[in-house]
Amino acid sequence: MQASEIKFFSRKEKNRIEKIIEKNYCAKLDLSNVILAKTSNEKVWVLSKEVGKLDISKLKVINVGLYLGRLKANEKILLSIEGCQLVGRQARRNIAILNETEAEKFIQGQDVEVEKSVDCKERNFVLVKYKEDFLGAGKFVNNKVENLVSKSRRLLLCE
Amino acid sequence: MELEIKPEFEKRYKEILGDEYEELEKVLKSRIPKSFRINTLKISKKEILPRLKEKGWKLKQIPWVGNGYWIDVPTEFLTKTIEYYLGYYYIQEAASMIPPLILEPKPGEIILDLFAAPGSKTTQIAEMMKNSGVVIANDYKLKRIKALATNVQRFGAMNCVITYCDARDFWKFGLKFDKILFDVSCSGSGSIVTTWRIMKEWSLQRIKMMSKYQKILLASAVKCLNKDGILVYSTCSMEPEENEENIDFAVKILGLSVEKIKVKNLKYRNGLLEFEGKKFDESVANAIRIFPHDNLTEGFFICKLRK
Repeated sequence: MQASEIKFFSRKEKNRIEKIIEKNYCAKLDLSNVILAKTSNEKVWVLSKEVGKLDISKLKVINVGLYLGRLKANEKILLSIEGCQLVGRQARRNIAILNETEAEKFIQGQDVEVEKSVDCKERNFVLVKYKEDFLGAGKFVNNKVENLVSKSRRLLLCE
Repeated sequence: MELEIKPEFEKRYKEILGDEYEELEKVLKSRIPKSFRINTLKISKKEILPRLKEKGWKLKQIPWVGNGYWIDVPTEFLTKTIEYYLGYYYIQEAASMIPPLILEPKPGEIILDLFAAPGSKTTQIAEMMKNSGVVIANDYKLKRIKALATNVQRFGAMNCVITYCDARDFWKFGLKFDKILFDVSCSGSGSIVTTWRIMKEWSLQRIKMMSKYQKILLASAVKCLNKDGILVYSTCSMEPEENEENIDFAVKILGLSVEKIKVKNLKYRNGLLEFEGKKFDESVANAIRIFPHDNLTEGFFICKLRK
């Protein structure tokens, strides 16, 4: 990635992200102390304010800040694990709650059965939760969650 | 399998340590406990500790790092828990947690971590800065940068910019910093205690080659440092050529000064003032060296330099 490929969001674009999150998860995310940026493939990143003040234009940048998620059609966003953790604390909608067995399957990359759903809309992206932890995102289909966590983050659990 | 110590290694460390050498050899041939750091950007100690103890893990606080713990389980167990998946802790060798403590990053600062991969110290710095300011986390090995990016993401750090650049050329971008972490590539002899394979690669020729290269890198890094700025020099090497000799070079040739370091609850020694007939600047004694048998950690060398 060249630094020139990083597009810092205006206030208006930031508001749009806040609205998308609010619409999908009924969560009011406080983004007042951070800045947002977008890179190729509609990837959205959260950065500390100071990053925006630094001239990184000449650097060969691999990543900036925290990957929040990827913007999708119809004003939706597929959140990363960290994105789910940030949004999850305030979320009131589109939350799929798992039991222990299914949670273990989920973090290994498998699709899972949902124990309890909180206002989950069919075929929507949902936050996957086990006890107090948000494990990542998936797609809610027929009371199941299709696992959408990136392969690089999956784990093989010990016995 | 037992660690085979090379005769030249033994000769060298008998010269440095005298009677204490036997203690070093004993620890090198044993296994030291694994350690990790709780990620307070994501979870509090109060929340995570009971969860880890429920697994039957026996934790022992690392006395020099508030959120560092020793644990006596194999690494493969540490990387296969839901808490690891969620980024609630970071596996890091206990001595490797010291250089960021010396750098003392503060919220809002702009810091350069010149050899950042795989990200242990980068994430520690990001955490100490409470996710504010900027850490430019640079490296030059793409494979290692991939691990760095994954670790920074798993850690939940928002204040890191990961860059790909040969450290010799970083100054050409014109950016200047008040604080630089210079945790340079080295022969790794301090890591023999955790990675016996390094003993096989250990040779005086390799040490001399590394030392020469480190001086080139150091001279370039100093160009990125503001006047009065701090550069923390660290290696996981125990070799005087890669440590005191390079600090002597920084003082006499690059014009930097060495500041005194104090780390509470850690056993360490002063930098050497002489080795194999070579005399170093007196201020080199302000650097610290840690041997594996001092605290049951990897060997480390750390020095705080001011421009």
